[in-house]
Amino acid sequence: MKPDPDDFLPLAPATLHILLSLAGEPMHGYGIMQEVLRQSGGRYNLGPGTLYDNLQRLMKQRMVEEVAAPREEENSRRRCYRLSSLGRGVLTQEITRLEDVVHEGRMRLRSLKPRRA
Amino acid sequence: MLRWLYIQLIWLHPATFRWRFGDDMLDDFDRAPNRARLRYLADAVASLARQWLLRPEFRHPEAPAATAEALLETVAVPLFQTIETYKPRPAALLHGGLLGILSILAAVVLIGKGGGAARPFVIGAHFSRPSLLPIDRNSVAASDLNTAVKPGPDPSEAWLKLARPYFVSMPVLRALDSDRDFALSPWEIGNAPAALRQLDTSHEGKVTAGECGLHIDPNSMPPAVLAQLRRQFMSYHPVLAALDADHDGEISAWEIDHAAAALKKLDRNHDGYLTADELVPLEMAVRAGLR
Repeated sequence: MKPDPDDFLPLAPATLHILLSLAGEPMHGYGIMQEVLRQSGGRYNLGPGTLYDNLQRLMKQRMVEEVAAPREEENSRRRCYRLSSLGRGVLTQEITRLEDVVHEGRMRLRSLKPRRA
Repeated sequence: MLRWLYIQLIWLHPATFRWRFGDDMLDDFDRAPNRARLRYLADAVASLARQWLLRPEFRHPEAPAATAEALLETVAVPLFQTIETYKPRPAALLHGGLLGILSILAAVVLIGKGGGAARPFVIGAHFSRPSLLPIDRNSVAASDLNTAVKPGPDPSEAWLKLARPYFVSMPVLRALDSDRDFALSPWEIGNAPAALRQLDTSHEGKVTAGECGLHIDPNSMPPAVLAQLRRQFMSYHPVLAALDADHDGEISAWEIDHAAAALKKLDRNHDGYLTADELVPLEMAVRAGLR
Protein backbone atom coordinates (compact mmCIF):
# COMPACT_ATOMS: atom_id res chain seq x y z
CA MET A 1 0.00 0.00 0.00
CA LYS A 2 1.27 3.46 -0.89
CA PRO A 3 1.92 5.59 2.21
CA ASP A 4 -0.11 8.77 2.66
CA PRO A 5 2.07 11.93 2.69
CA ASP A 6 -0.13 13.36 5.45
CA ASP A 7 1.09 10.62 7.80
CA PHE A 8 4.54 12.22 7.90
CA LEU A 9 3.36 15.72 8.83
CA PRO A 10 4.34 17.98 10.47
CA LEU A 11 8.01 17.79 9.53
CA ALA A 12 10.85 18.63 11.88
CA PRO A 13 12.88 21.71 10.82
CA ALA A 14 15.91 19.62 9.81
CA THR A 15 13.74 17.29 7.71
CA LEU A 16 11.97 20.20 6.05
CA HIS A 17 15.24 21.89 5.11
CA ILE A 18 16.76 18.67 3.77
CA LEU A 19 13.72 17.90 1.61
CA LEU A 20 13.66 21.49 0.44
CA SER A 21 17.29 21.43 -0.58
CA LEU A 22 16.73 18.20 -2.52
CA ALA A 23 13.68 19.62 -4.32
CA GLY A 24 15.95 20.72 -7.20
CA GLU A 25 18.63 18.43 -8.51
CA PRO A 26 20.32 15.51 -6.74
CA MET A 27 22.94 16.53 -4.18
CA HIS A 28 25.57 14.98 -1.99
CA GLY A 29 25.70 15.49 1.78
CA TYR A 30 28.02 18.48 1.82
CA GLY A 31 25.95 20.16 -0.89
CA ILE A 32 22.80 19.68 1.19
CA MET A 33 24.48 21.30 4.20
CA GLN A 34 25.55 24.30 2.10
CA GLU A 35 22.09 24.61 0.56
CA VAL A 36 20.38 24.48 3.97
CA LEU A 37 22.75 27.21 5.17
CA ARG A 38 21.89 29.33 2.13
CA GLN A 39 18.10 28.76 2.41
CA SER A 40 18.04 29.77 6.05
CA GLY A 41 20.18 32.86 5.52
CA GLY A 42 22.98 31.37 7.62
CA ARG A 43 20.71 30.73 10.62
CA TYR A 44 20.43 26.96 10.34
CA ASN A 45 23.79 25.28 10.27
CA LEU A 46 23.25 21.56 9.85
CA GLY A 47 26.06 19.28 11.07
CA PRO A 48 27.02 16.05 9.26
CA GLY A 49 25.79 13.85 12.13
CA THR A 50 22.32 15.44 12.08
CA LEU A 51 22.23 15.41 8.28
CA TYR A 52 23.09 11.74 7.79
CA ASP A 53 20.92 10.64 10.70
CA ASN A 54 17.98 12.37 8.97
CA LEU A 55 18.94 11.03 5.54
CA GLN A 56 19.06 7.50 6.95
CA ARG A 57 15.54 7.90 8.31
CA LEU A 58 14.22 9.57 5.15
CA MET A 59 15.62 6.77 2.99
CA LYS A 60 14.03 4.19 5.27
CA GLN A 61 10.70 6.03 4.86
CA ARG A 62 11.33 6.09 1.08
CA MET A 63 11.13 9.89 0.87
CA VAL A 64 14.72 10.19 -0.35
CA GLU A 65 16.59 7.92 -2.76
CA GLU A 66 20.25 7.41 -3.38
CA VAL A 67 21.20 7.97 -7.02
CA ALA A 68 24.28 7.74 -9.19
CA ALA A 69 26.57 10.78 -9.01
CA PRO A 70 26.16 13.35 -11.80
CA ARG A 71 28.59 13.05 -14.73
CA GLU A 72 30.83 15.90 -13.52
CA GLU A 73 31.23 14.18 -10.15
CA GLU A 74 31.66 10.64 -11.39
CA ASN A 75 35.12 10.30 -9.85
CA SER A 76 33.86 11.39 -6.45
CA ARG A 77 33.25 8.69 -3.83
CA ARG A 78 30.39 10.69 -2.38
CA ARG A 79 26.84 9.42 -2.48
CA CYS A 80 24.13 11.57 -4.04
CA TYR A 81 20.52 11.82 -2.97
CA ARG A 82 17.29 13.00 -4.55
CA LEU A 83 13.63 13.35 -3.58
CA SER A 84 11.37 10.43 -4.38
CA SER A 85 7.80 10.98 -5.52
CA LEU A 86 6.65 10.32 -1.95
CA GLY A 87 9.16 12.86 -0.63
CA ARG A 88 7.92 15.41 -3.15
CA GLY A 89 4.32 14.75 -2.05
CA VAL A 90 5.22 15.12 1.62
CA LEU A 91 7.10 18.37 0.93
CA THR A 92 4.14 19.76 -1.04
CA GLN A 93 1.72 18.91 1.76
CA GLU A 94 4.03 20.43 4.36
CA ILE A 95 4.34 23.67 2.38
CA THR A 96 0.53 23.84 2.07
CA ARG A 97 0.25 23.25 5.82
CA LEU A 98 2.79 25.98 6.52
CA GLU A 99 0.93 28.37 4.19
CA ASP A 100 -2.22 27.75 6.23
CA VAL A 101 -0.28 28.38 9.43
CA VAL A 102 1.12 31.63 8.02
CA HIS A 103 -2.33 32.72 6.82
CA GLU A 104 -3.89 31.94 10.19
CA GLY A 105 -1.03 33.71 11.97
CA ARG A 106 -1.45 36.85 9.88
CA MET A 107 -5.21 36.91 10.54
CA ARG A 108 -4.68 36.59 14.29
CA LEU A 109 -1.98 39.23 14.40
CA ARG A 110 -4.14 41.62 12.35
CA SER A 111 -7.01 41.26 14.82
CA LEU A 112 -4.60 42.03 17.71
CA LYS A 113 -3.52 45.37 16.24
CA PRO A 114 -4.49 48.31 18.52
CA ARG A 115 -7.51 50.18 17.23
CA ARG A 116 -7.41 53.93 16.82
CA ALA A 117 -9.48 55.83 19.28
CA MET B 1 43.84 15.97 17.09
CA LEU B 2 40.28 17.11 16.33
CA ARG B 3 40.23 14.94 13.22
CA TRP B 4 41.42 11.93 15.23
CA LEU B 5 38.66 12.56 17.80
CA TYR B 6 36.08 12.90 15.01
CA ILE B 7 37.20 9.58 13.49
CA GLN B 8 36.82 7.92 16.90
CA LEU B 9 33.31 9.33 17.20
CA ILE B 10 32.40 8.01 13.74
CA TRP B 11 33.86 4.65 14.72
CA LEU B 12 31.59 4.53 17.77
CA HIS B 13 28.45 4.80 15.61
CA PRO B 14 26.48 1.62 14.83
CA ALA B 15 28.12 -0.39 12.06
CA THR B 16 25.29 0.06 9.52
CA PHE B 17 25.42 3.84 9.89
CA ARG B 18 29.22 3.88 9.83
CA TRP B 19 29.44 1.80 6.65
CA ARG B 20 26.96 3.97 4.85
CA PHE B 21 27.79 7.49 6.02
CA GLY B 22 31.17 7.32 7.80
CA ASP B 23 33.23 8.28 4.73
CA ASP B 24 30.95 11.18 3.84
CA MET B 25 30.97 12.46 7.45
CA LEU B 26 34.75 12.51 7.49
CA ASP B 27 34.85 14.14 4.06
CA ASP B 28 32.48 16.87 5.30
CA PHE B 29 34.69 17.37 8.35
CA ASP B 30 37.76 17.76 6.14
CA ARG B 31 35.99 20.31 3.94
CA ALA B 32 34.71 22.33 6.89
CA PRO B 33 36.58 25.49 7.95
CA ASN B 34 38.54 25.23 11.20
CA ARG B 35 36.08 27.34 13.15
CA ALA B 36 33.26 24.88 12.36
CA ARG B 37 35.13 21.75 13.42
CA LEU B 38 34.35 21.97 17.14
CA ARG B 39 30.67 22.31 16.26
CA TYR B 40 30.95 19.24 14.03
CA LEU B 41 32.45 17.32 16.95
CA ALA B 42 29.51 18.26 19.18
CA ASP B 43 27.15 17.33 16.35
CA ALA B 44 28.82 13.90 16.05
CA VAL B 45 28.38 13.32 19.80
CA ALA B 46 24.68 14.18 19.49
CA SER B 47 24.37 11.92 16.45
CA LEU B 48 26.07 9.11 18.38
CA ALA B 49 23.55 9.42 21.22
CA ARG B 50 20.65 9.55 18.73
CA GLN B 51 21.84 6.48 16.84
CA TRP B 52 22.28 4.32 19.92
CA LEU B 53 19.30 5.56 21.92
CA LEU B 54 16.65 6.44 19.36
CA ARG B 55 17.38 4.37 16.24
CA PRO B 56 17.42 0.70 17.26
CA GLU B 57 15.59 -0.24 14.03
CA PHE B 58 18.52 0.91 11.86
CA ARG B 59 21.20 -1.21 13.51
CA HIS B 60 20.59 -4.21 11.28
CA PRO B 61 21.06 -3.80 7.56
CA GLU B 62 17.89 -4.41 5.60
CA ALA B 63 17.73 -6.24 2.30
CA PRO B 64 17.73 -3.72 -0.55
CA ALA B 65 14.59 -3.48 -2.65
CA ALA B 66 15.62 -5.04 -5.94
CA THR B 67 13.17 -3.43 -8.31
CA ALA B 68 14.31 -3.03 -11.89
CA GLU B 69 13.81 0.74 -11.67
CA ALA B 70 15.90 1.06 -8.53
CA LEU B 71 18.65 -1.03 -10.09
CA LEU B 72 18.72 1.14 -13.19
CA GLU B 73 18.82 4.30 -11.13
CA THR B 74 21.67 3.11 -8.96
CA VAL B 75 23.60 1.54 -11.80
CA ALA B 76 26.76 3.43 -10.90
CA VAL B 77 26.43 2.72 -7.19
CA PRO B 78 28.11 -0.49 -6.00
CA LEU B 79 25.46 -3.01 -5.04
CA PHE B 80 27.70 -5.00 -2.73
CA GLN B 81 29.05 -4.41 0.71
CA THR B 82 32.32 -5.62 2.16
CA ILE B 83 32.63 -6.86 5.68
CA GLU B 84 35.10 -4.88 7.71
CA THR B 85 38.10 -6.87 8.85
CA TYR B 86 39.90 -5.12 11.63
CA LYS B 87 43.55 -5.95 11.84
CA PRO B 88 45.69 -4.29 14.49
CA ARG B 89 48.83 -2.49 13.26
CA PRO B 90 52.06 -4.55 13.49
CA ALA B 91 53.56 -1.84 15.70
CA ALA B 92 50.63 -2.15 18.10
CA LEU B 93 51.12 -5.93 18.25
CA LEU B 94 54.85 -5.46 18.97
CA HIS B 95 54.18 -2.93 21.73
CA GLY B 96 51.53 -5.17 23.25
CA GLY B 97 53.87 -8.17 23.21
CA LEU B 98 56.72 -6.21 24.82
CA LEU B 99 54.39 -4.83 27.48
CA GLY B 100 53.17 -8.34 28.27
CA ILE B 101 56.72 -9.71 28.61
CA LEU B 102 57.74 -6.77 30.83
CA SER B 103 54.70 -7.30 33.06
CA ILE B 104 55.50 -10.99 33.49
CA LEU B 105 59.18 -10.22 34.24
CA ALA B 106 58.17 -7.62 36.82
CA ALA B 107 55.83 -10.12 38.51
CA VAL B 108 58.57 -12.80 38.55
CA VAL B 109 61.14 -10.40 40.08
CA LEU B 110 58.64 -9.22 42.69
CA ILE B 111 57.80 -12.78 43.75
CA GLY B 112 61.51 -13.82 43.73
CA LYS B 113 62.45 -11.00 46.11
CA GLY B 114 59.65 -11.90 48.50
CA GLY B 115 57.99 -8.60 48.11
CA GLY B 116 61.09 -6.48 48.79
CA ALA B 117 60.27 -2.82 48.74
CA ALA B 118 56.82 -3.59 47.46
CA ARG B 119 56.01 -5.88 50.38
CA PRO B 120 52.72 -4.15 51.25
CA PHE B 121 51.41 -5.27 47.88
CA VAL B 122 52.20 -8.96 48.41
CA ILE B 123 49.28 -10.82 49.94
CA GLY B 124 50.00 -13.44 52.63
CA ALA B 125 52.61 -13.94 55.37
CA HIS B 126 56.17 -14.28 54.14
CA PHE B 127 57.80 -14.65 57.60
CA SER B 128 56.53 -16.90 60.39
CA ARG B 129 54.65 -15.21 63.19
CA PRO B 130 54.03 -16.46 66.73
CA SER B 131 50.40 -16.67 65.78
CA LEU B 132 51.25 -19.44 63.30
CA LEU B 133 51.41 -22.57 65.46
CA PRO B 134 53.96 -25.25 64.49
CA ILE B 135 52.45 -28.63 63.63
CA ASP B 136 53.78 -31.65 65.48
CA ARG B 137 54.07 -34.33 62.81
CA ASN B 138 55.67 -36.99 65.07
CA SER B 139 52.33 -38.53 65.94
CA VAL B 140 51.44 -38.75 62.27
CA ALA B 141 54.70 -40.44 61.33
CA ALA B 142 54.41 -43.05 64.09
CA SER B 143 50.87 -44.04 63.41
CA ASP B 144 49.89 -46.57 60.79
CA LEU B 145 47.97 -44.99 57.95
CA ASN B 146 45.41 -47.70 57.58
CA THR B 147 42.33 -45.62 56.96
CA ALA B 148 40.46 -46.93 53.96
CA VAL B 149 38.18 -44.68 51.95
CA LYS B 150 35.22 -46.57 50.61
CA PRO B 151 33.20 -44.81 47.96
CA GLY B 152 29.45 -44.89 48.45
CA PRO B 153 27.17 -46.58 45.97
CA ASP B 154 27.07 -44.83 42.62
CA PRO B 155 23.57 -43.32 42.37
CA SER B 156 23.49 -43.64 38.60
CA GLU B 157 24.35 -47.33 38.91
CA ALA B 158 21.53 -47.78 41.43
CA TRP B 159 19.08 -46.11 39.03
CA LEU B 160 20.30 -48.30 36.22
CA LYS B 161 19.78 -51.39 38.36
CA LEU B 162 16.19 -50.31 38.89
CA ALA B 163 15.69 -49.30 35.27
CA ARG B 164 16.83 -52.58 33.66
CA PRO B 165 13.94 -54.79 34.81
CA TYR B 166 11.49 -51.90 34.52
CA PHE B 167 12.34 -51.19 30.88
CA VAL B 168 12.19 -54.92 30.08
CA SER B 169 8.75 -55.29 31.67
CA MET B 170 7.27 -52.25 29.89
CA PRO B 171 6.48 -52.82 26.18
CA VAL B 172 6.20 -49.07 25.56
CA LEU B 173 9.67 -48.37 26.98
CA ARG B 174 11.09 -51.37 25.10
CA ALA B 175 9.68 -49.96 21.88
CA LEU B 176 10.89 -46.43 22.55
CA ASP B 177 14.39 -47.34 23.80
CA SER B 178 15.71 -48.60 20.48
CA ASP B 179 19.40 -48.59 21.50
CA ARG B 180 18.70 -50.41 24.81
CA ASP B 181 20.64 -47.98 26.99
CA PHE B 182 17.73 -47.58 29.44
CA ALA B 183 17.34 -43.92 28.62
CA LEU B 184 15.45 -42.12 25.87
CA SER B 185 17.58 -39.88 23.71
CA PRO B 186 16.19 -36.84 21.82
CA TRP B 187 16.13 -38.93 18.64
CA GLU B 188 14.20 -41.73 20.37
CA ILE B 189 11.76 -39.17 21.75
CA GLY B 190 11.29 -37.70 18.27
CA ASN B 191 10.77 -41.17 16.86
CA ALA B 192 8.15 -42.02 19.51
CA PRO B 193 5.09 -41.91 17.18
CA ALA B 194 6.64 -44.49 14.84
CA ALA B 195 7.74 -46.68 17.75
CA LEU B 196 4.27 -46.57 19.32
CA ARG B 197 2.58 -47.50 16.05
CA GLN B 198 4.61 -50.70 16.04
CA LEU B 199 2.93 -51.63 19.34
CA ASP B 200 -0.51 -51.38 17.73
CA THR B 201 -0.73 -55.07 16.90
CA SER B 202 -4.54 -54.94 16.53
CA HIS B 203 -4.18 -52.17 13.89
CA GLU B 204 -6.91 -50.05 15.47
CA GLY B 205 -4.86 -46.88 15.18
CA LYS B 206 -4.40 -46.71 18.96
CA VAL B 207 -2.36 -48.43 21.65
CA THR B 208 -4.50 -50.07 24.32
CA ALA B 209 -3.59 -50.72 27.96
CA GLY B 210 -3.17 -54.39 27.07
CA GLU B 211 -0.64 -53.49 24.37
CA CYS B 212 1.09 -51.31 26.97
CA GLY B 213 1.62 -54.31 29.27
CA LEU B 214 -1.57 -54.74 31.31
CA HIS B 215 -2.38 -58.44 31.02
CA ILE B 216 -5.88 -59.08 32.37
CA ASP B 217 -8.59 -61.32 31.02
CA PRO B 218 -11.41 -58.90 30.04
CA ASN B 219 -14.03 -61.52 30.98
CA SER B 220 -12.75 -61.88 34.51
CA MET B 221 -14.29 -58.66 35.82
CA PRO B 222 -17.08 -56.17 35.07
CA PRO B 223 -16.32 -53.67 32.28
CA ALA B 224 -16.48 -50.65 34.62
CA VAL B 225 -13.89 -52.16 36.97
CA LEU B 226 -11.74 -53.13 33.98
CA ALA B 227 -11.86 -49.57 32.62
CA GLN B 228 -10.94 -48.21 36.06
CA LEU B 229 -8.04 -50.65 36.28
CA ARG B 230 -6.80 -49.65 32.84
CA ARG B 231 -6.87 -45.97 33.79
CA GLN B 232 -4.99 -46.70 37.05
CA PHE B 233 -2.37 -48.70 35.18
CA MET B 234 -1.84 -45.94 32.65
CA SER B 235 -1.61 -43.24 35.31
CA TYR B 236 0.78 -45.24 37.53
CA HIS B 237 3.62 -45.27 34.99
CA PRO B 238 4.93 -41.77 34.19
CA VAL B 239 5.63 -42.57 30.55
CA LEU B 240 2.10 -43.94 29.99
CA ALA B 241 0.51 -41.10 31.96
CA ALA B 242 2.31 -38.60 29.76
CA LEU B 243 1.30 -40.35 26.55
CA ASP B 244 -2.35 -40.89 27.59
CA ALA B 245 -3.07 -37.17 27.69
CA ASP B 246 -6.84 -37.49 28.15
CA HIS B 247 -6.45 -40.26 30.76
CA ASP B 248 -8.97 -42.59 29.12
CA GLY B 249 -6.80 -45.68 29.55
CA GLU B 250 -5.41 -45.90 26.01
CA ILE B 251 -3.12 -43.96 23.69
CA SER B 252 -5.27 -42.65 20.85
CA ALA B 253 -4.14 -41.87 17.30
CA TRP B 254 -3.91 -38.13 18.13
CA GLU B 255 -1.93 -38.92 21.27
CA ILE B 256 0.42 -41.11 19.20
CA ASP B 257 0.99 -38.24 16.77
CA HIS B 258 1.80 -35.89 19.66
CA ALA B 259 3.84 -38.44 21.63
CA ALA B 260 7.17 -36.60 21.28
CA ALA B 261 5.80 -33.39 22.77
CA ALA B 262 4.12 -35.33 25.57
CA LEU B 263 7.33 -37.18 26.44
CA LYS B 264 9.35 -33.95 26.54
CA LYS B 265 7.20 -32.86 29.47
CA LEU B 266 8.82 -35.62 31.55
CA ASP B 267 12.28 -34.10 31.04
CA ARG B 268 12.59 -32.44 34.43
CA ASN B 269 16.22 -31.35 34.07
CA HIS B 270 15.72 -30.17 30.48
CA ASP B 271 18.77 -32.01 29.19
CA GLY B 272 16.84 -33.49 26.27
CA TYR B 273 17.17 -37.05 27.60
CA LEU B 274 14.69 -39.10 29.62
CA THR B 275 16.65 -41.11 32.15
CA ALA B 276 15.55 -43.70 34.70
CA ASP B 277 15.00 -41.13 37.46
CA GLU B 278 12.49 -39.40 35.17
CA LEU B 279 10.75 -42.58 33.95
CA VAL B 280 10.55 -44.96 36.91
CA PRO B 281 7.36 -44.55 39.03
CA LEU B 282 7.92 -42.66 42.27
CA GLU B 283 6.70 -45.56 44.43
CA MET B 284 9.28 -47.91 42.89
CA ALA B 285 12.06 -45.39 43.44
CA VAL B 286 11.02 -44.84 47.06
CA ARG B 287 10.94 -48.59 47.65
CA ALA B 288 14.44 -48.90 46.18
CA GLY B 289 15.67 -46.14 48.51
CA LEU B 290 16.43 -43.77 45.67
CA ARG B 291 13.94 -41.09 46.69
